[in-house]
Amino acid sequence: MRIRTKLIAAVTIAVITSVSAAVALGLIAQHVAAIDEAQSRVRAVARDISSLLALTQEYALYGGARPAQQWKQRHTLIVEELKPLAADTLEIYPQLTQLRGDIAALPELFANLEAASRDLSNPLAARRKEMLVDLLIANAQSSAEDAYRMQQGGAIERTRALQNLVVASVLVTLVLTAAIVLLAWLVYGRVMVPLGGLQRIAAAVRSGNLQVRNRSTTQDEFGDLAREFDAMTDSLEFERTSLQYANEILNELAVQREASEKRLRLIGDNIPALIAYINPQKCFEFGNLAYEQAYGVPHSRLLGMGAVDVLGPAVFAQSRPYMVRALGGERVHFERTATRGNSLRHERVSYMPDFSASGKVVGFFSLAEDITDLKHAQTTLADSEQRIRMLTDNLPALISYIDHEQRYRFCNAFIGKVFGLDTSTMLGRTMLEVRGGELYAQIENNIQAALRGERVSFEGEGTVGERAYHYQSDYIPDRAADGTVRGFYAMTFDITALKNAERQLRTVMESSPLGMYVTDAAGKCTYTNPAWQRIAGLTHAESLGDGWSTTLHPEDRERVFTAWTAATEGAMRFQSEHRFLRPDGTVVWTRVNAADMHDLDRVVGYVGMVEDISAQHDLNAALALKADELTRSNSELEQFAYVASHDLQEPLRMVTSYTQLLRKRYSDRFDQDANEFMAYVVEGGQRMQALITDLLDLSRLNTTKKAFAPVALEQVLADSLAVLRLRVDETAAVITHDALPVVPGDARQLGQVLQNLLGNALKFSGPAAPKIHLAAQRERRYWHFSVTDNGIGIDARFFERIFVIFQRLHTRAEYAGTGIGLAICKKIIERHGGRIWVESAVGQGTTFHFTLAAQSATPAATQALPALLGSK
Amino acid sequence: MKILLVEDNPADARLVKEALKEVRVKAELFWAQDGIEALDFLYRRGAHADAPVPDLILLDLNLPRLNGHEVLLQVKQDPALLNIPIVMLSSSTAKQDVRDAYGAHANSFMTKPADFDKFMALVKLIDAYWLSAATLPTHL
Repeated sequence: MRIRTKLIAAVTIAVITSVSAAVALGLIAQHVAAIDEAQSRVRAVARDISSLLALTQEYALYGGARPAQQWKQRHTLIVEELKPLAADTLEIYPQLTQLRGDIAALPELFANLEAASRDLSNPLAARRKEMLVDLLIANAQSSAEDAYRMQQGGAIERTRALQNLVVASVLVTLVLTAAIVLLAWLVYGRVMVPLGGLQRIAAAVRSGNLQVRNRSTTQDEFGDLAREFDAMTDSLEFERTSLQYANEILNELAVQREASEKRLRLIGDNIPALIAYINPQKCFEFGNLAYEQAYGVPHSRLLGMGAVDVLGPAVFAQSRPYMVRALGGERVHFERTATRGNSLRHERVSYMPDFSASGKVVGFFSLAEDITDLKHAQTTLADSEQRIRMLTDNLPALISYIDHEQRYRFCNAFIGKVFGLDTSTMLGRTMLEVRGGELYAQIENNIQAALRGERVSFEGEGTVGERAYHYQSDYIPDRAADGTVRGFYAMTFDITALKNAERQLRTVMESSPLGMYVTDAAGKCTYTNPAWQRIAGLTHAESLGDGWSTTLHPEDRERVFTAWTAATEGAMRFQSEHRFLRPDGTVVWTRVNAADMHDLDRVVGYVGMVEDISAQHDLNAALALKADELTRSNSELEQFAYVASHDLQEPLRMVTSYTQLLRKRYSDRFDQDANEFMAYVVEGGQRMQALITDLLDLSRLNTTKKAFAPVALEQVLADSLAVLRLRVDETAAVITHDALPVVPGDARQLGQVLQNLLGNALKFSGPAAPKIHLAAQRERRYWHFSVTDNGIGIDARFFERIFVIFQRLHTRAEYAGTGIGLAICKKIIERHGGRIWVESAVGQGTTFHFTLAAQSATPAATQALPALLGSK
Repeated sequence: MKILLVEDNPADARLVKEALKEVRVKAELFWAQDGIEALDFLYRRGAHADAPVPDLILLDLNLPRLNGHEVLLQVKQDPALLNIPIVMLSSSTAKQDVRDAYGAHANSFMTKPADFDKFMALVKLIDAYWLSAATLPTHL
């Protein structure tokens, strides 16, 4: 809807509303005024009625004309007062009709009263007068009550009218306020907002932004205005864009022109050369920036300067003759030197004459290049070549360059020595000429390949006189910038030593009785030697890759695989003992040791050694069996010895005892021979008894093994001496000893050792009284004991024999004994982890040495051997 | 004095008898050849129905049928017999045998010496102690 329409509508509504409100308020006010007027009348009527009442009573009491007169006037007044109260007030005063009736009835009554008053003599008249007075007063009072009620009703009506007035005023105020708010909203939404937007857009356009648009869709005046504005902006933008485009083209052209000039200047100034144009007066008409750098002449002053001033006298002197020639129309080139600071610069100069249309020389262009660096580079190149030659001449390889015609263009001095070539004559000759037809035929393919641009590497062999050699050659193609192959570098190494080593290694591997194999880093077999193939029962081809594993014994396969995988994955040594089940069904035990081969820190493969340990394995098994048997047989033997010697005693006792009994009772009946024989029987029996006792002791050493406990040897010695006391006393022996330690062992057995050794020393004494010393000395983990006597001594021949059971060195007549004591000592000492030996010479006394461990041997050590044997 | 000798070997038994004779022990020696016979004697069974109660038993260990140790155990468990002193007389020197004997309440354990003179000395000791010095229950 248009704003205009809206405004008209709004104003119309406002006017109508206002007028209606005014009319309503006016009507209400009028009503109130009418009520007020009626009320005042009613009040007057009420007052008059009261007066009428008073006059009635006055007349009744006193009579007279004046009260009657006044009564009648007053009544007329009341009737007059009531007249204006029209019928329309009946709504307000419903009592009005009643009141009028009552009032109208009064005069008749009063007239009756007057009539009655005149005739007072009549009692009836007096009575009538009283009745009339009562009636009048009752009527008047009733009227007064009506008037009062009317007064009341009027007041109520007035209050209601006033309330209506207030309500109407409030309603009018609300309606007007709403109208104003509506109008304000309309003005804001439809006028202020679009106006503000338009202002913003206008401000943006004014500041040059032609992209903004209103894009209004409103169909009112402001919508039209916004669309008009947008259209205006559109055309403005189009014009500006056109203008900008034209400007850009112009700018571009200017920039191009400037760049072009700048480039030309740049070229001139940055060419590493001196460029100048010199006129016939030998003055500069142009000179680039280089002159400033080279000759120190400021560029701004260069134009018009004489050549002698620019170049300086020395350079000018060199250049002058050529300038003359150039001005004579000749194109000249020359070199000159110039000292600049401390360095000598070389310049190569060209003068090109400039001819006019008529052919006259009008000047010349001068182009001078600084070639000092070039000169230096040439020197450096020569040095570099020299160095390369030094290097290559001293490399242990033939290094040469061969061009595409296969001619030697370079070679180092190495050639001559190994390959029988003469380097001095090679250059310029072809490979065919130099190497000879036979060798050339071998390498021709490689030469062709190198000249096709392939890099080749190959090995070969040749001879120089009697000597054969191996070589390895690498050809590296040399390409020109356009990609064509100009020739190739050839490097040939003498690998004779390497080949020999390789052959030796191969021979070793081929002939080794040890199986060998080589694998790659992944553990795949790449080589096996004949010994390996023999052990595994596979051919070389069958063994390659994972083929070697087919011959693994099924029971060992998983174990070996696990270990081998762990070794190859962890790059560790591989060690294993396992079986091969050969294709022919035989089983062979092997021990494998594999080591990883390294190339720097990377594993490149493994080399393994395989040993056939079947024989060893069988041997171990047999040994374990033997050890078991030995243990069993030993224990049986001990048992046997014990039982045997025990049971042997029984019959022996019979023989001895009865012989003794025989001799006791019947010796007088036997002759001397018989007595002697019986003596032999008894002696034999007693000796056998001693033997059996000792044998029992010996066998008990093993059957009654007690756990080792700390043994105080001092105490043990004291006990032993107590046993030997009788013999010590008999022989008057002197026995001394060192302080003795506490050692782990079996006290009873060690006591027996001391007793036996001391007993021997006492027994085998010479003519002198025995002197015996027991020494003890700590030697690292052992105690070293020795029992030294001054007895008869022992021949060195018998040193071993005396420790063997039943071996005796003396007849029984000389020294009694069973020959078992030292065997017992040996066994006890060895049981204690020690050693016993003897030192002696005949007549020089004897020393028995023995050692005992200072600390308990660990159980592991004593168990080690059987454990080892048992496990195989 | 009555001594019951339990010994399987006749030679040994005779040796005891001879030794007793040599040392002039005034004792009556009864001889049982094995353990069963020894018990028959003590319980007066069979041929030994009128056997006397011995004052002392000399008991060998190695016996056929019922060995000395078994005899010892049985006698020492019988209240009627356990007060008869038993001297073990064996050629054994094994410690276990000695322990077992005393464990079963043997009154003493003696090892037979190989030498006859020593044997006689031993018999003399037995006589001196058990038959002379000691008061035995059978004499009460």
